[in-house]
Amino acid sequence: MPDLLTHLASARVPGAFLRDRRVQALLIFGSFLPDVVSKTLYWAAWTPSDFLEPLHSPLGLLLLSYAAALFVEESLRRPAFAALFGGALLHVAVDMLKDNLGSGSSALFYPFSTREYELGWIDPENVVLLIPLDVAVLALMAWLERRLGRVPQ
Amino acid sequence: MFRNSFYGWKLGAALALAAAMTATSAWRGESIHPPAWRCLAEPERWHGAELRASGPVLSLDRDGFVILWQQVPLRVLAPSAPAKGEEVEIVGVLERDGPCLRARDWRRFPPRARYRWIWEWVSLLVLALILVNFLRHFAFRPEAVRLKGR
Repeated sequence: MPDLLTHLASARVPGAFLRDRRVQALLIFGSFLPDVVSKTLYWAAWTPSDFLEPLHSPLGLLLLSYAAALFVEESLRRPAFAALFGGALLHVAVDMLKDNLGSGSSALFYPFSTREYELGWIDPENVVLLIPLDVAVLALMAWLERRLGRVPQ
Repeated sequence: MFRNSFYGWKLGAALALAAAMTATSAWRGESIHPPAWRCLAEPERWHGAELRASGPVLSLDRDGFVILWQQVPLRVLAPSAPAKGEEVEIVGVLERDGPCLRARDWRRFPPRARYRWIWEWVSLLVLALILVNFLRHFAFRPEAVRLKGR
């Protein structure tokens, strides 16, 4: 899903309650991780889409999040992994809201099943209508952060 | 699991397993998302496969319509039909006779689909801002992941 603003808004909701700004940054990056990796492989490396199924499956994202967390300093690695994987799962959950005529975009049980799941609530061609809602959520979370005293250090 | 011991092995194993998953996905993916030319060249092989196709409607007939899918005309059997020239998206099952696609469901692309570029640019802007924010909190030190001699 190319609508990263919606993914940002959805990741900011749990992120607003995190004290550590580094973990918050990792949670948001984790929510972009499935698209950043799959779109980079697709557009830059011309990888056929068949290769990219696991990048929107929990097990594939678990491995990817673990590999990404290893690039973070040792003391922060465990929460980094939790934030990256949590953000990536959030991405999959948001993608599942889309309506792809029942053909889905998230292979939840890959590699045990190639069936893709979706809830079918949002027409992917209509996500432009979500921009005002996303901006409202981002503003609300920024206000909430100030109320909770989680302002940037 | 998160310590520095056996760092290279852990990183290598995670990346190798992820790569193996993508490779097996491509191998199994033939049956999930076969390309148009392959389905139409070998309809016997892909008979019964569920396909997702999209494109402009080229012509209409009594039982359905023909769309241009990945530069290939594809006949679609559907109880209702869009107008000629409309952009549609279809999910259905390929039938070897024809070959044709028996639609399970289809829809027109809404007129606002032409504004797709807006959210693509917004997404790129968001990505750039997030990367800038990320670099405010983290510095990349290549020596941390460089392999050292014993």
